[in-house]
Amino acid sequence: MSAFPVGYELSGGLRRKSATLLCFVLASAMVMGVTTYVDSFSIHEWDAVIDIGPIAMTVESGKTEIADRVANIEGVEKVATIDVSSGYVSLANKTSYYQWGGSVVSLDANVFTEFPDAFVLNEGRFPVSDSEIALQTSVAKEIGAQTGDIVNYTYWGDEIQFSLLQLVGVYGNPDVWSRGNYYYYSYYIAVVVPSLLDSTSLRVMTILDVDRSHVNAYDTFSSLSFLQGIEESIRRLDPLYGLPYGSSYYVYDLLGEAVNSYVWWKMSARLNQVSRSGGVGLLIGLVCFLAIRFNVNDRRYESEMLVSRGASSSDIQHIAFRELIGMTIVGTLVGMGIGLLISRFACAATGFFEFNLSLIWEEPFLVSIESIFFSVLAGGLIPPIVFFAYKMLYSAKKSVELETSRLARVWTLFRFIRWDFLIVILASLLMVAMYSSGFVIQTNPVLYAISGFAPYALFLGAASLVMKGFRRGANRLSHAMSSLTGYVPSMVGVRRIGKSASSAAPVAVVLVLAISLAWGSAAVGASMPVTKMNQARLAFGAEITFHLDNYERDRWDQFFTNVTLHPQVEACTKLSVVSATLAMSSMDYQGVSLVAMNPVEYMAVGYDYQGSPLNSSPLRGPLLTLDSVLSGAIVSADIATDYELEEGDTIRAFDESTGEATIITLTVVAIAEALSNGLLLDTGYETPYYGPIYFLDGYYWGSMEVGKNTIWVNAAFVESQLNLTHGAENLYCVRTTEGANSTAVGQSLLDSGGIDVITGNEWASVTKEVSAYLQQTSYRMDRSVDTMLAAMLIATISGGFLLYASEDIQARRREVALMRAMGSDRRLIVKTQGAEMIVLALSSIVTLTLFAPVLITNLLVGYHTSYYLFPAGVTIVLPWLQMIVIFLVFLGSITVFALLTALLSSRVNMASALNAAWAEAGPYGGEL
Amino acid sequence: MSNDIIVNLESVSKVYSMGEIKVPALRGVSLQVERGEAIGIMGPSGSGKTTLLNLIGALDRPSEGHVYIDGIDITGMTESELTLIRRKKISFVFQFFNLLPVLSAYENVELPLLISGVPEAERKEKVDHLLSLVGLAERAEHRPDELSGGEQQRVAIARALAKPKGSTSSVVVLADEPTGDLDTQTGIDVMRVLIGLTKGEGGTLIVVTHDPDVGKQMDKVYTMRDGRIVGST
Ligand SMILES: Nc1ncnc2c1ncn2[C@@H]1O[C@H](COP(=O)(O)OP(=O)(O)O)[C@@H](O)[C@H]1O
Ligand SMILES: [Mg+2]
Repeated sequence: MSAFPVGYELSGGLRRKSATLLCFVLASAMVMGVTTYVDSFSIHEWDAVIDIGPIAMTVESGKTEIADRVANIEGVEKVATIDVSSGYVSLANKTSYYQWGGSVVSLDANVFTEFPDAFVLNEGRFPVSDSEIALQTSVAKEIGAQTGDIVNYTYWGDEIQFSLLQLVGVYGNPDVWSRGNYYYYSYYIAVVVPSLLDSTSLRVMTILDVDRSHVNAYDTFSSLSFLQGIEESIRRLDPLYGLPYGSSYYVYDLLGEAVNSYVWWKMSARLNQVSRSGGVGLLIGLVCFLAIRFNVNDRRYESEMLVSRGASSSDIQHIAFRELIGMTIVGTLVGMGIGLLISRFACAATGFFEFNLSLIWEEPFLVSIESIFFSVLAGGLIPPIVFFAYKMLYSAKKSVELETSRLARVWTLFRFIRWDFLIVILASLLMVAMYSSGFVIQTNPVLYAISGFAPYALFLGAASLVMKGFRRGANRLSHAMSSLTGYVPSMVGVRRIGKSASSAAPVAVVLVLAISLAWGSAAVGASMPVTKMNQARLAFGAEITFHLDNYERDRWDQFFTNVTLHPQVEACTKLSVVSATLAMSSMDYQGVSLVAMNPVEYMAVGYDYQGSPLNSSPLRGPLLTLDSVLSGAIVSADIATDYELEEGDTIRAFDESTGEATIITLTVVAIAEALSNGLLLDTGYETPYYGPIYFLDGYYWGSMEVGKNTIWVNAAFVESQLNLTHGAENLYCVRTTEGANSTAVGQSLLDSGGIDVITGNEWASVTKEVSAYLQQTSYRMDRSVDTMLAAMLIATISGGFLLYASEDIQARRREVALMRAMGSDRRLIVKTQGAEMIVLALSSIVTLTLFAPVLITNLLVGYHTSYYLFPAGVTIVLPWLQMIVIFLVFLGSITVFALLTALLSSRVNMASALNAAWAEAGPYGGEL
Repeated sequence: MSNDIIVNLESVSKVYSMGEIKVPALRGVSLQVERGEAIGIMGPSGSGKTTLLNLIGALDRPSEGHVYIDGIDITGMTESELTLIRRKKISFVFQFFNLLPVLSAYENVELPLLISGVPEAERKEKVDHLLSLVGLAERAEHRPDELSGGEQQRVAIARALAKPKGSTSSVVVLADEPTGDLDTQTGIDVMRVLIGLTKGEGGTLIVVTHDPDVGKQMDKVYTMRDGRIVGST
């Protein structure tokens, strides 16, 4: 009988347990981290969504007054009545008769006491007699009325009614309020006394507020049921309630709508982030698999030994199972704690690995029931699932080895098919198909999810092939390496990698995947802002674009001078965009934008479709030609394709804006991939975004193609044929000096007279657009989650290495002891371990250089910055410095691990290493 | 001291300490083994047989006393001096074979020669010779997991005698229960190979065994109890 390994239970068990625990911690930590982060960050969304102004609900109850009864409902806090009817207003003078229609209201006294912010006077007062009227500010502006003017008020009752009323005040409604009511009512255009309302169209509207302390983000479910309870109580006020049509009272629950939209937003945000965590999830699964394999192997030999010494095997299994359950529970709890911590750091992330640490305390913190549920699920289920998967795989393999049954044939067939080879082929085909289908992936959530997982499938398949290659080619490889490392090191060291039960190769796989993921996150973080900038440059046609008000034509020149004089303006020019129709044959018409410009001036201002300044882009030559060939035209490629145009061809365009058809004849001087028409005021968001409240009925949005259907022409020529002042949209385009903040420049230009000459507030700036994009909730969330996942990656890697070390140290020690017993010196042993590390490192680097580009491309292509279609895809920016740092961090950590492992395994007590039974029976003996 | 004494132990003691507890494994053992001799060591479990072998094989150091190998006192040697002693004069055959699983039978036998820096031609000759002596010439390319226990132990025996030309006569082969993990018949075969090969190559053999039949094939058998040699035949 051999000596029982002294202290085995303690040291081996402890190492095994701590490594396994770490792996189990990861799953729940990741889920808890991501969901808690999303929940906490969603408080911002909540704050935005819940900011609906003073009115929580409105009720329409026909002609019945219900305010008193509504006020008695529990939870209702403030009530007021507005009588609403339809009517028209116009300025009563002879030159203009511009009528404006909408809801005309009269307000009861409660409106002012209970909802002072609902109708806010900007000027004057509200009407007190039937000869007075107040108008909404924007309506007054539209019809050109000022306080004191006489307004013509008309409505269609049983017969048409006119009254001439004096305008005594103008008021505004809060933005949020009109937004909430937008769908169901027009704006409240005017306020009159009750006797002036059209009694035929009169309807009573009750506005109310509820006790909002019952509505919170922590428990949206009971918040919603609280609101629904009030809704229902109001509906029941209808005496006819319960008849086939339910209630005739219509309750519009603005607050409930807001809570609902928050719930949906949060759900989709969670789903989105969880699917983005797929890669890390996969890694964690892999590491858990390694952990369980290690546990089972370790346990198996331990229990064989204990059984041979008289222990009952069912007792041992019982103990093993209890241990696994215990570790799962502890792992889940610890993981949840760590997840909470990590989520705090994610809140502090303002970009990928950019932090503002004070945000750790300042950001809201929300742990919801669902987060806890999901992390318990992940932490509690993943280990047992992996455990049973492993058991099944192992017993399948075992039974195949023992018998040549049908199962064996299935297994052989399975091996023959080479699942990994199949996966590599399928995943590559899928990815090629996806990329060539372009926009379809981004709009179809199922395809999008698949395209996210395809590279990982590809990677797993490829990694398995590489490992098999190692196993087969180990001999040849070790011969090839022998000249580099010496014969013994390469013979012993290199071949260890090929050993099927060694965790060295899986750990290398984990490492490669981790570096690729971290690189991918860094690349996305760096590429998206630049992509957005280039898209904005094409959309706006310049760094800053002002949309000029044609009615203020006289004041343009003064504004232009101001712009030119601004110290941070490098160049500026005017564009006039005419909607025209192209006619090539009599049958075929197409609407296009004709952009009339001074080509040389615009060259110093505009950009091409890839975001490079025109004066250093391929369009420089064509623009110079356009400057000399007055009737020339630069045509976007889509038009050229549709009409089969070539350089030198003639096109005819009709101006649509004027009554009579003006035909201009142009000669194509160049064809460009895409051309800006400068008309867009934004670049579109990742998903169509219509204010903070989402309505669930769903929106339809078509795809907007930017840079198409555009022709650039010389203003000097077009001017002589068309009226560019009235028949065109006029834009003033500005390029700022290097490094200037174009938002600030634009703002200061607006302040110095710009606001008077532009239409509404229509101006666009590239930096404004980019920073709005970067501030966008979903963008910030993505970067923060990426940061969090990168941290999880490092933890996962550490777990992998810890396992690797503890699994390998025993086998390694025996090997070292054996070689020392044969008389090899320490140098030879260090070289042997070194040879193994070198081969692992080299093969990792090879895999990395093959896989990282695939993953990064996939991440970038799959990432959408806009639902508009831009001609140039993502501008790929590789943040080399960051990527090198990432690489070095990983490299550093594995070097430390490798050194520690080498050190630990070379400090060998030869006598015990060589004589102990477990040395033989280490995981090396394991098959899977 | 006669030149024929290759292993000489002078009142060697070994005390293991497990924390506070001191475990005396050997208590003043003296032993001389002549070159070319085959001796057996028997005794109950825990009597210190393995400890004795480890001290002779320079895997461990005695707490007291001196160990001479081929006339050289190895007790106070540095680790690198011990490395050379192990390389030239010591070989082990373990109960659990202890072959390197990633190497073929041929390579396992070749390994000590490689470590000693023996040139390729001589290596090949030696390995082929040894493998055919243990009857495994046909299985040279097989890896340990493709060999039976008896075959693995025969590879280990061949490896034990793989020493540079001319130095096999000063090799001490230390075998700790080499048949402990084999069935009876295989054990007998393996023992025959071990003794035959060691004697044939001119080496010295020290075998720890529980089997009295094995003892009978030895030139001498020592019996141990409680860390002492209590008898010899
Ligand atoms: N590494 C060690 N640490 C502590 N005690 C040990 C160690 N190795 C052996 N022993 C103890 O020394 C005594 C002799 O052991 P050993 O030489 O292995 O006996 P044998 O080989 O005859 O069975 C035993 O009591 C054993 O428990
Ligand atoms: Mg022993």
